Order: sequence, then C-alpha cells, then structure tokens
Amino acid sequence: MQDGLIAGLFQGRLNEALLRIEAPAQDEETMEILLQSLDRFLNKEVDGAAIDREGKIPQSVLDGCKQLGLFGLVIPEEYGGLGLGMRSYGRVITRVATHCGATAVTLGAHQSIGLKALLLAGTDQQKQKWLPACATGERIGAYALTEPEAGSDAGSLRTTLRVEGDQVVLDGGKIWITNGGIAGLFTVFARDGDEIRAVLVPRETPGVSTGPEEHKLGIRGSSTTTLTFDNAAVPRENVIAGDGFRLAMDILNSGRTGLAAGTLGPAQVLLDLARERATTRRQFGRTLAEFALVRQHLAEMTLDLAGMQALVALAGRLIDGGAPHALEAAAAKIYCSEALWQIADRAMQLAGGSGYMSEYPYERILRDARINRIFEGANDVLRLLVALKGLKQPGRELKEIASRPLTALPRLGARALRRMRIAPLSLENGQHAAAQRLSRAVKTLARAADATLRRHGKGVIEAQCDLQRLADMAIECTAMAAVLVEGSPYAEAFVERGLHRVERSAAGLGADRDDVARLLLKDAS
Amino acid sequence: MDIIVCMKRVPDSAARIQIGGDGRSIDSAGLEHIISPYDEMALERALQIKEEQGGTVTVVCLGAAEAAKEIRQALAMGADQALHIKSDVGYRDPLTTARILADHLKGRTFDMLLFGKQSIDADNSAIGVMVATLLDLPAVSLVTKLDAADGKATVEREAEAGAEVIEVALPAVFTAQRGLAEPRYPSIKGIMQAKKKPIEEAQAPEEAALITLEALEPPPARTGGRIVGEGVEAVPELVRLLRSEAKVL
Repeated sequence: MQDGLIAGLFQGRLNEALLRIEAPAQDEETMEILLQSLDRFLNKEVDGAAIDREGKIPQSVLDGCKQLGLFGLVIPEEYGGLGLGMRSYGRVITRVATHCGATAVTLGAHQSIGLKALLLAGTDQQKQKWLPACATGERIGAYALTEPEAGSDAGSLRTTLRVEGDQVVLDGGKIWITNGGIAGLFTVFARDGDEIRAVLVPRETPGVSTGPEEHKLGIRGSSTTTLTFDNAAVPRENVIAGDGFRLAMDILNSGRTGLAAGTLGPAQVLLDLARERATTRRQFGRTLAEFALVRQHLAEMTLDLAGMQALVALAGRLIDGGAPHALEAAAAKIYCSEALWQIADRAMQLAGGSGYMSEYPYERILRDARINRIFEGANDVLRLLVALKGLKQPGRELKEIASRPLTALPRLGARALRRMRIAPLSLENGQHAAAQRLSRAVKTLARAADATLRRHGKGVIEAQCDLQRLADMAIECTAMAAVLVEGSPYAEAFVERGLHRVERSAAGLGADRDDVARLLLKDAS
Repeated sequence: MDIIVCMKRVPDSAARIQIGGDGRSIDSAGLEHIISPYDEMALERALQIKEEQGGTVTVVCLGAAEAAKEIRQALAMGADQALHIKSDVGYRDPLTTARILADHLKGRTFDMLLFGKQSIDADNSAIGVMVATLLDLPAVSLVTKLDAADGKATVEREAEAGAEVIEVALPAVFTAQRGLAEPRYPSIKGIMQAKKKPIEEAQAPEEAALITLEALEPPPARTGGRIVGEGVEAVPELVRLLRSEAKVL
C-alpha cells in the first residue's frame, strides 16, 4: 500500500501529489441551495440553547432532520441516500454544529460510525436490507464498541457471540453508546473466541435493552446509554464478514473527519463573537482590540481556525480522492478538537463575566467541545498511533542498515540526503519563505524520528513522552502544509508559528525536561 | 390533476432594503432573495394535492436570470418542471405582467392555476385575478382551503366576517391566503433531483409601460417608544396620549 502523507513526513518526504490531491468536484450550485435550505431549517427550528437546557432534542427537530434527508447524507443513492462525499458531508455537519452540538453528534454518530460497518464491509444483501431505513432516519444507527473494561483498549472487550444453528447469540454489555436511546440498529462488536466480529443488532431483538439516559457535561441533548445483551439472538446473516476489530478501527479512522468538521461550526461562532466583543467593548477608554494581550488571543484563535479548516479540507480531499487517510484524519481530529477547546477558552476569557453566564453561548459551546478530545479515539492514544505508524518505515530502514551495514551503504547515503534537502512546496504566490519554513519543519521531524529510534531502540513503544512530541511535530507539519496549499490568507503567520512549535517539540526530545513523572520518581528514589 | 403555480422572486422579508442610486429601484447588491411567501404556500398546497392524487406541478416565474435559483428551489420542493420567462425589467405594472403571464399560459392545459394572494414586494394583489380575467377563467381569491376532485374544487375563502365555502368548476384560478399550507423545506434529495428537472426558458417582450415608477422612499424612521408611567395611575395619561397624539382612539 502507498505511504500516506504523514508517513511520508516521518521519512522526510513532502508528498505534494497527495497534498494537492483533487477529488471529484462537488456540485457547488446544488450545495448552495442545500445549505440555504438547511440554514432556514436550523434558524427556524433548532435552538441549541434550549436543547442543552432540556437535555433532549425535540421530536420535531429529529423529524425535520429526517424530512430534509440529514440521516442519509453518506448513504449511496441506490440505497435511498444522497451519496455525498466526505467534503460535502463535512460542510453539512459543520452547519448543523454551528447551531447545536448535540444534533450534530446525533447525526454524526449515526452515519460517521453507526452504520459505517455496513457501508464499508456489508454485502449488497445486508445493505439492501438495512440502509434504506437508515437513510430515512427510521432506523438511527449506533456504534457499540466500548465496554467497562474496554475503552482505548478496545481489543479486550468481553461481550460474547456464539453461533447456535442459523443464529448468533450475544451476551454482555456496552457503555457510553451515543444514540443508544434512539437507535434502531446497533453495530455491535463482540468476541467469538479469539475473533472479534461485527454484528447488526436491531433494537427490537429480544434480550436487547438500553439503560437510562446518562447525564453529561455537554452535548446534553444527544442520547447516551448503556446497551445490554441477555441471550440476544439475531440471524447469522446479520454478522458482517471479516475481522471485526480491524473493521472497528477502520470505521473510526474514516469517521473522525466528520467529528473534525463538526468543530468548525462552533469555532467560527466563537471567533465571530470574540471579534465583535473586542471591537465593541470599551475599557479604559479604548476598545479591547486595542490591547496587545487581547490581540494576541484573537490572532491565535484566527490561526487555529485556519489550521482546523485546512486539515478538515485536506482529510476530506484524501478520503474523497481514495488516498490513504487514517493518520491524516487522526491528525485533523486531534488538532481540531484541541484548537476548538483553546478557542472556546480564549473566547470565554475575552467575554469576561458574560462568558461564564448561561445567557450567552460561550459556556455551552465550551462544555459541548470537551467530548471531542475524548470520543472516537482519545487524543492521547491517537497521538501514539500517529507516531508509531509514522516510525514504522524509518524503523525498518534503520534496522536493515544496522544488520547489513555494507550493502546498505548507498541507500544510507540517499536516505541521509533526503533528510538534508527537502524540496519546498512549489507555491506560485510569492510564499517562498513559508515553503522553506515548512521544508525545515519536515526536515526537523524526519531527523527527530531517526534520533528517537536510535535513542530508544526497541523501547520506543514505551517512550510515550517522545512519541507525543513526534506526533505533535507531524500534526503541526501537516497543518502547515495544508494551510499553505489551501491558500489561506494567514498562511505566512501560520507557518511561522508552526515551525516554532515544531522546533520546540524537537528541542524537548529525550531531554526529559517536561517528563514530570520521571522527575517525581527521581526525587522519590 | 395538473397544476400550474406562478411564483415571484422577491427580496427576503428579513433583509434590509436599500434604495438604489437612481431613487426608483432597490439596490440588490448583497440582497438575499426568496420565493414570495404566499406563492410558496400556493406551491405547497399544489404539491400536497399532487402527492394525494397524482398529476404534475409546473411552476412559472417571470423574472430576472437570477430567479433560476428560486425556480430550482421550487423544483427541489417537488415541482416537476418550470417555465422561466426571463425579463430584465425591474418594475412592471400589474396589467402588463398579467398579460405576459397570460400569453404564456394560453394554450397550456391545466386543472388549476395558483398564485399567492400578493407578492410581498409590490403588494398589488392584482396579478392572479387579472390573469384569470385575461384567460376567461373563474377565480377565487384569498383561499385558505383548497380541495379538488371530479372536475371541481371546493375552497374556503377568507371573507370580512368569516369564511365563504365555494365550489367551482375546473379549470379555475386561485390565490393563496396564509393558512392554506405550511411550506416544506426542500429535502436534500429533492435538491439533488431538482438538477435533472427541466426548466423551459422564454424571453419576456419589451413593452410600453402603462405605469412608470417615479420614486421610492424608505418608510419614516420609527421614533422610540415611551413609558408614560406605571400601574393604574398611568392609564388616564395613556388614554389621553393615544387619543390626542397617536390618534388611534
């Protein structure tokens, strides 16, 4: 399989073809009418503050979403859906999230992950049977992987599946199931001996039950429940073929881009609020925007949003263009969820006391935003994924060189050369300096990857503080590259900030300077 | 049942209207447009009837090239086809408008011809009944209920002190009053399908104007409200002001 963009960065390669991949064009005129219709619906019917207060999405809103077709966005037309690509889907989710995080999460959990197993690995027969009802929203989908003892370590799940005649029988329990209370179809991951399988379980199956609604910090209108199986039997043809664990991970890998797109809506809302606040609120006879610290906040927020938009656009193009995208989607998810949190924090700070009051949207958006760093892969674990996958090829090369130093000599030279000279992006619009900075950042990452492998050897898997630094560098490099090719007006500043961040991460490598746990242990011994 | 709905593209009712430099037109820069709401109600009812008993819904729009977007929206809501009579004339008097529409409708077969009771920009409340006259068809205006079967329609019409129930042989013309139907949001599927639906195009003739619009003026700026007092004691003063100043009593 072809190396992805981020895997290339770890090897000192800036794959411009992937970075600029052109996916099939979207029909802009149709999208414009679609988004206008959606805006009318959202403005008139969807009150995010009320949904948060009530802790429930009203049936009228769900019905409106169904009527508009929002439950069938990614389902192919032949199964009754709209067949939108990732970029168009992302734009719709962004709009919904602008008005209500809970509604966006409900739609996202349904089609980013809930019915994704069917889309990715279902047979035509399975698709024919279930997807049309999913497309109308008659059966809302839910993804059921997490268990009390199996969170980030999903492979240790204990829900069992056994074959009995032409049925499979499920026993066990799941937790934190988004859409649990409203779903009509669960994609359940269960253990069949050593194997993990994905099974489609309709809600009405005897022995299937969901618990009461959980009370949550944010996205309070969305449904989250437990899901229990007590001798729950479904027909054998509900089992989705193939390795269920692999499928569970593949679903999350592609679903994360939807989550990232959902962060763009609230981020834009907050930035608009902050700008408005900074230019109208006066203290000491001046507007807030006239104070350097306030401008600093606004500038960081502006750059963060530019990075978020560019990463979502890049991940969307990679997915729609059929290119490898697992690490890039993870990078977008990590970056967007954290940048939104930062933006929410800064916007609240600039709003002063008003920011803390429920009368204004800041605190709700802040609460809603927090979950993005936790679900669909906790960011800490995703960072390890990015770093370890990124280190794979450099690790293989170093191992080969070490075992056969003489024969590997010519390749060693080429390898070193690649890390010395990384061709800067070909940018036509006088952004030569920015392209050079990006090239420098990628060089820094590739050298850091080699240095980390040499320093830790086989122990690299446990060198989590350094792995995190490498992941941070890779994500930042990806964001810089994405912002440059998107032609953002803030590209110069973004790349300058990015290079600074990359170099700071590199400086920390192996130094244990911020490895606080180790410092504590040193003191104790 | 084959139904034709005439619709107009108008500035969004929520938009802030600016008068153009010539003093007699609206500055359309950055202005959002919509299907005139009463026309949209007529369209919604037409679609409901089609869905109940089959047939076709055709929308007809006399307006600028930009109206293609509102026509597409009507198609996305569920209309089957459209006729776009293109025209660059900003203002046209009602009779001239009605004649152009009637010329294009003559020779088409339909069971019902629907209009909104008025457009929300020009507010003439004239086109529907004028077209009916030009086509020599019966017309019922201000319709709040409309059902059709077996070659006739049963309608309720808003009257001064209540409702009139009217039966009329088809084909006939109706103008929609609020309450007839609540327009749907175009579904995304409808929007995607609208692309494939046919829009027939025609050109409106350049005709001598019967009426010319000389000037447009914005409404007078609203003066701020006033609190005259609190509780029962304020009532006499309030009544006095309503009588002498506001002259509403």
